[in-house]
Amino acid sequence: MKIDILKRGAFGSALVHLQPGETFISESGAMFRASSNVDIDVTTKSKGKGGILAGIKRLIGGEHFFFSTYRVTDGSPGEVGLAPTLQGEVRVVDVDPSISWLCAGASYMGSTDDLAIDTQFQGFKGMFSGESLFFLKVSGSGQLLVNAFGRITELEVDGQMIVDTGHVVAFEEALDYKVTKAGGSWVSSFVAGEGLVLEFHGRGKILVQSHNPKEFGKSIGPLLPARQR
Amino acid sequence: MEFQINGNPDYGEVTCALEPGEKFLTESGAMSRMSRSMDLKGRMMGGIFSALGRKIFGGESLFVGDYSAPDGGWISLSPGVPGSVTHHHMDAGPLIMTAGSFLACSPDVTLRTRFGGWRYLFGGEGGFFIEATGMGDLFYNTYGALVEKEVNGTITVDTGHVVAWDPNLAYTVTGMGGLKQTLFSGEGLVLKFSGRGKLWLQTRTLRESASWLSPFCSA
Repeated sequence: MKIDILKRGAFGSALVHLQPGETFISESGAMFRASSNVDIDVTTKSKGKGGILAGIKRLIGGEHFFFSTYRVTDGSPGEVGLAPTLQGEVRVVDVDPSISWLCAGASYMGSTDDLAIDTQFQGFKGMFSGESLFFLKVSGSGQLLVNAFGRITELEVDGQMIVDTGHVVAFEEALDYKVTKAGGSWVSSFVAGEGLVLEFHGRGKILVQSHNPKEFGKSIGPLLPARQR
Repeated sequence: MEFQINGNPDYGEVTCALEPGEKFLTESGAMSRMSRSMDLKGRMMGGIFSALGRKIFGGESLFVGDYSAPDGGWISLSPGVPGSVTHHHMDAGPLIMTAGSFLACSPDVTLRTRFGGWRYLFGGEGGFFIEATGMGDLFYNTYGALVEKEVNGTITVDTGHVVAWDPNLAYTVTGMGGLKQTLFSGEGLVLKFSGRGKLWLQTRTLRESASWLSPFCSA
């Protein structure tokens, strides 16, 4: 399947070219245009995994219950334009069977249907760190579409690296990680405004986003009218 | 210290490589990623009272991240708002910044709060400016792109668009014209600069973005 990334920078989007017989899956709500021969359906499952339980797991992980699926109906090619909610870059990750990827829930945008998507609970280490630690495990052979707040930088970890939880987009499963504090002590880390970070070790690729949606929310939030209940 | 700024004008971030023993102070929460070798201490900037002053009146965080690299290391910083990151070497002279513009500095830079006057305080912009003096590297951030203006004479600028200026410039905080214009022109308070020196502006203001967004917030 051919996927074009349109524009870098703040307003990236993706154009997926569908051939007859091909299926693309996206998070619900991402489609902003589609050829008239494209059939749009909803499903709770991706390849191999699925059903109601998988949808519920995604809900708990802060994701949507349903995926949208796209396929052409009339034997001729079609195209689907997908755009993320956040302003920032969109990127294609080529996934092959030898290395699975873990994708932050908020960064998952779509994938070819030959990839299996499974919500991974991080157990205790994910408990304190908010939604971004419910990673989606993406495995198989195909293309994964991710989005970010700001720019995406691909880093090669060889050894150890610290990444703020709000900046992780996706990483290879070969990398091991733990949730830890940024500084020498917990007090120091929170006082410095960093709190929890991910400490990666091993060898593998990681995609990070330049900006943290939560930090922007915290900047503009106080200027907005108070929420009334 | 070596540094590289990437992503300007819309998503600027800066990555700094620290030599063994070098230190670096950052705005609270600005670290996005770093080498494992970095040490972090959270601390109050310049003692309790000046720190409190900054928090309440300057709009900046009470605390800063105090990073050090005993064996060398690197750190990437990104501001809370999208826009540009700019480097200012203190050799080029001291700088006065508006609240929220400070991103990071080397330890030989001294930050002090400067009262902007009662009008500025009640104008909702926070009331205090931050003055940076000393030596070393300073990084500040803007919401939107950065505009540099060489002032020779006088200039009037919307307070929300002001980022930093050369302290050689004299300034007054004032309304745009009379009371009527101040209330109804939508410009609010303005800063009037006079003299000779550089002035840096940002192309967007968070306050205006927020007021555009406000009507869409569910009640």
